[in-house]
Amino acid sequence: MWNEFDKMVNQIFTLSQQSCVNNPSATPWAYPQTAIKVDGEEVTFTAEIPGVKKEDLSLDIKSNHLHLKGSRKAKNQKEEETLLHSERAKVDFDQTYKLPFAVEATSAKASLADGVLEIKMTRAESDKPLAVEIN
Amino acid sequence: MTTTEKTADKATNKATFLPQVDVIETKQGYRLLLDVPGVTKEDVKISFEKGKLIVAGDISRGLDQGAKYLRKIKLSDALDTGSIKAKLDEGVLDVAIAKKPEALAVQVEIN
Repeated sequence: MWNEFDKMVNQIFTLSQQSCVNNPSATPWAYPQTAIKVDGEEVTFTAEIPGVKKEDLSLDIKSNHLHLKGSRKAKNQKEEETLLHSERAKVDFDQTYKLPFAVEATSAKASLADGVLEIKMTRAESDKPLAVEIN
Repeated sequence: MTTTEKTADKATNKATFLPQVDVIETKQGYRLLLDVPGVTKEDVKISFEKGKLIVAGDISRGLDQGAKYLRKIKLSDALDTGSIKAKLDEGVLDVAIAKKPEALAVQVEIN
């Protein structure tokens, strides 16, 4: 039974490797890698986008949607250069992420350093739950 | 990596990631591009040992804070390992290694 299992795992592994080889732009995982963290009334969106410059990135926030668009140009590869081996993602991304609550777009603070984009936003006043007193 | 380092890693339960790499051949040598988001210049170590280029980095920001990057790449003997130059830009490490003079392509003139 374990042999069967091993075989299955091997098959899956080989297949996934093959698909990467056939299509160099395919990545075995989502690109970019992102995370959304909530801390009270604050939400932090983090994305790993190595090699993406500030000017090649666009970001807009509306209510509880965060739209991130960017491209990573084949990094200053010159004509006489040959790409021998390729693992890094070479795809553009254009994605909308849903935040857990509506945010004040004007409160957003974004920073890009070492290939990591971090956006801190606070919850919109209009979205905050209203406590109702019970008499 | 020594055995003690490995145990230390286990004790702190820190993950080690394999950074993705592109290899580009140029006229003078090779360029390795490695994706290492979240690592600062101070936290990257590049060394050369037993024919292998070792790139290690500590992740200080982003999704995997506290984790590490480690990649070992075997280099050909035709490379001048004394010439290794590296720069880190926006989370991408660019390592340039020159070919040994005898490995460079020579244009032969026909008279």
